[in-house]
Amino acid sequence: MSQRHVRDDECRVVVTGLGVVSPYGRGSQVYWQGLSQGHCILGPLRLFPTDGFRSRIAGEMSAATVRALGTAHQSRATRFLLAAAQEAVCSAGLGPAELTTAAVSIGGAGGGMLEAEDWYWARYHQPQDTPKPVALRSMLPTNQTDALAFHLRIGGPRESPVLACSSSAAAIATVADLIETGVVEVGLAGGVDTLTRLCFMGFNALKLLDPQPCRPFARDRRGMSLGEGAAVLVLESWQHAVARGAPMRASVAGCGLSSDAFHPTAPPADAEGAVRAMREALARGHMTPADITYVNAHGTGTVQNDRAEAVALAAVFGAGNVLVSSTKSLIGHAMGAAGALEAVATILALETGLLPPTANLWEPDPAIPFDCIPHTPRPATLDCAMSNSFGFGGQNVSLIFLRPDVAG
Amino acid sequence: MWLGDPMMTRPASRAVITGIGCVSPFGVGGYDLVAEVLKANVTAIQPLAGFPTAGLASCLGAEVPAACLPLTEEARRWSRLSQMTVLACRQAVAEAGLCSSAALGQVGLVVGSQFGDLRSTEAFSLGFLRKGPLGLSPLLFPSTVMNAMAGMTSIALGLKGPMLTLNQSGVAGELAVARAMALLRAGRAPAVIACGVDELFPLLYETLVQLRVPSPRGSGEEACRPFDRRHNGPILGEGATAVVLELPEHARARGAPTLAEVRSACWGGIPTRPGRFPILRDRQYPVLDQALTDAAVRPDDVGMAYLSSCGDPQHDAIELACMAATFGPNGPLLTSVTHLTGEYGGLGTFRVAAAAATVRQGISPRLDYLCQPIRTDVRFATQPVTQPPAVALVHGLARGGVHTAILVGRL
Amino acid sequence: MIQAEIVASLKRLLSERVRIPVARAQALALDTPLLKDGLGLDSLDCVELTLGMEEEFGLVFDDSEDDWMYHFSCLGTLSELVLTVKGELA
Repeated sequence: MSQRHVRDDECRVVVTGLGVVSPYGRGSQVYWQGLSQGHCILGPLRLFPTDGFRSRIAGEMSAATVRALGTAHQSRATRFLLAAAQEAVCSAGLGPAELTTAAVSIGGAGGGMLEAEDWYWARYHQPQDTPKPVALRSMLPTNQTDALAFHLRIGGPRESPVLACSSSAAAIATVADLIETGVVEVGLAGGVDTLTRLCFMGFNALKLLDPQPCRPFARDRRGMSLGEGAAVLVLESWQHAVARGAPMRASVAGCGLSSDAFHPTAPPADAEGAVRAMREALARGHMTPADITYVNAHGTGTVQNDRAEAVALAAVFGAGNVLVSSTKSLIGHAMGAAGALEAVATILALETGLLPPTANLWEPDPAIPFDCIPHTPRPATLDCAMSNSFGFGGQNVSLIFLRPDVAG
Repeated sequence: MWLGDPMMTRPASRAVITGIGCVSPFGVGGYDLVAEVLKANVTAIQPLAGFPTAGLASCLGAEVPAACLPLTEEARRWSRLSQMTVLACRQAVAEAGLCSSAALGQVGLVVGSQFGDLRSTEAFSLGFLRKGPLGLSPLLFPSTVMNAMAGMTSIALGLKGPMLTLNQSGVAGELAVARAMALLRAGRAPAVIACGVDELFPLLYETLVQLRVPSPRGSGEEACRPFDRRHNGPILGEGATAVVLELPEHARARGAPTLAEVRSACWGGIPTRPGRFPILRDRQYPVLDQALTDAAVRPDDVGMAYLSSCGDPQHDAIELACMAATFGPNGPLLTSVTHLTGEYGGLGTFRVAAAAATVRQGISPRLDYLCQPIRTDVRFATQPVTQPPAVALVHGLARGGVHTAILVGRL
Repeated sequence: MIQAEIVASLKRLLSERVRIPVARAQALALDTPLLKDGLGLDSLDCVELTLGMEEEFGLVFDDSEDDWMYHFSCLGTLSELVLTVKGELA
């Protein structure tokens, strides 16, 4: 590890709690169990009718898991989020006093759109008998953040960033900024998204979904698979965490944010926006590319995204110089929640010394010059790792995490 | 790539406003348009013309005229909301003198919106409902995600810095400014555009009327009367206002025009049942106190306050109580712009632009309709100010509990 | 269906689906470039146009072939694609 100029410890950001709800079930333990076994959970999508569409699979939460979360009057998204946040807060040992001034930033693209769609579909098909638009009250992503703040009595700065696939990664980066600049000592950062008809229809219409479980970095990859879930991280200043004896799960070394300014849905061939985001994360962490040996990729499985991402990784690290894997190959693309889910996967990889694999990678694309850890998890003791999210519309976020015992 | 200095031990808390862009019912323009709107004090609220309101309990609104929005080839794929955002941001960067691709390549963007592009979401869904999968429009789908306006703007203007979209009810514009200031403070860009935007469209208007959100809510005259006893709900409006916020040293180095200074921008959230206004007990105003402290401004120094209340009785009451408790009977002149512009979630950036005009030239709106104020222990801006105040507050309080305080000062 | 009818439909789809101004679409010649060196369509526009063609002509197009974008070079090549998939062109 290169000699890192240590900034004031009190400004350093650490991760003290994690919480997850994923297609594997409730909890970060069952999440890691699935990832570390390389278990691809993608299967037939049953939440709403899918007839007539090319791709009809997803990483869907089981009905039993959903029933056990929250209460029926809450939107699906709110139920996921509250469960993930509850686990994060408990695992961090945060109490009411800390939550009163904590920041909270929950990224998401769809909010309670699923329930709004139920209403709109009913309104279209039975215009004389439309239910009241109560479901619309929880439609917007801000409603989930408000519900969380109310549920846990969180009183600090509150945001609902919408950056498509990079939403929750941006939430982590911007809450880390608030801690580093001394605005708050503690923050909850994460994301939630559920399967929605809108997303399902839209990505099908764009022909970006693989009819089979997605195959990131494979020669014959044909697109993404959708998913859903929620993940929340508790971020804290190092000084505050030490003072209260909090568990240290990881440090946030640096975060990069950039825009492509190129195209609404496609990355530029030279991936220069993604390159800038990664370089900014490294620079802010006072690190060099040689310090990183594992990258949890955006890795959606589309022809263009994977190709561009490989170009970006080669530009920053050099071909073949990092191990890469795609969490989306295992659980699908959870849209706004993906960044946080993958941040948790990255932190757990550092903690356990085991890198989750890329599923369905039977024939790696020879044009992608990286070991993408096919099928089998890889033991590796790492000091640090990077997690990338390159969202629709050219919004790039790169996060670097350190093992907590590594000097930073 | 501009990194600033992430090792700063005292992050900068001030920024200068170097450009303003506005797409509004009054037309498209910059600082001068905002100043003119305030000076004229003429409302844009009138019977809605863009879509029918027959059978609805409300029919008034403040609409951006179709003539304001371009039919250029460039705008071919932009939704109406994206058109408004691009135009406002383009105007703002032009006014700020940020023209070169190198300069724009460093600039960040924060868009705040309450409803985003629900018009496109509805159109996309209708395509499927009418014709099945073949009725879907791949061109329309990117607009259904709320970050589309920021994405289209970054492409149109070549903005390559950090880009965020924040969804927030009521104070989306204020939040965009506060987050833009936080990005500057963190050294993520030398300049950030904050743009608040929302639009009216039939399904939204009809649904909000069904939910009894806008005036008249079943009784009284349909009108926008913040702080008046006759208040019975807001009148809805639409528009986009962008302000360029820049680190002072960066603005100085490039000889940028400077309109006013944002001395502090704080925000927090009072835990509140979603959809309800917060109940402020026992002077719980840490956000306001922090904003004053950060700006090194005493309550007495604040000459005018732009409030987010828009005629909702509960909202008006809570926000005035906060002002009374913080500033007392001789506090700032309290004012609103919603009687001119209508109310929408992204309006807060217009309020910040208005505050800039107030501290710069003493220009402000007048609450001519205010005959029976609900409180008499505060002062209202019913007359033109005689001297530009040195500092103006832009205050926001939203359903769900988000609380914002931005202090704008004369340079 | 003859090529002229197909071209007329394609011009209408360019306006209705891809939002090309009607006058501009109608003025396109068979060999006017449609992609970036001409009308300026990109991959997203072509996905929209393909869906429109599937609805208009009742056909299913396979966009997985390597030189798929070649078909969008001009109205000439695009109409030939339609005829081929319809089975009216060898």
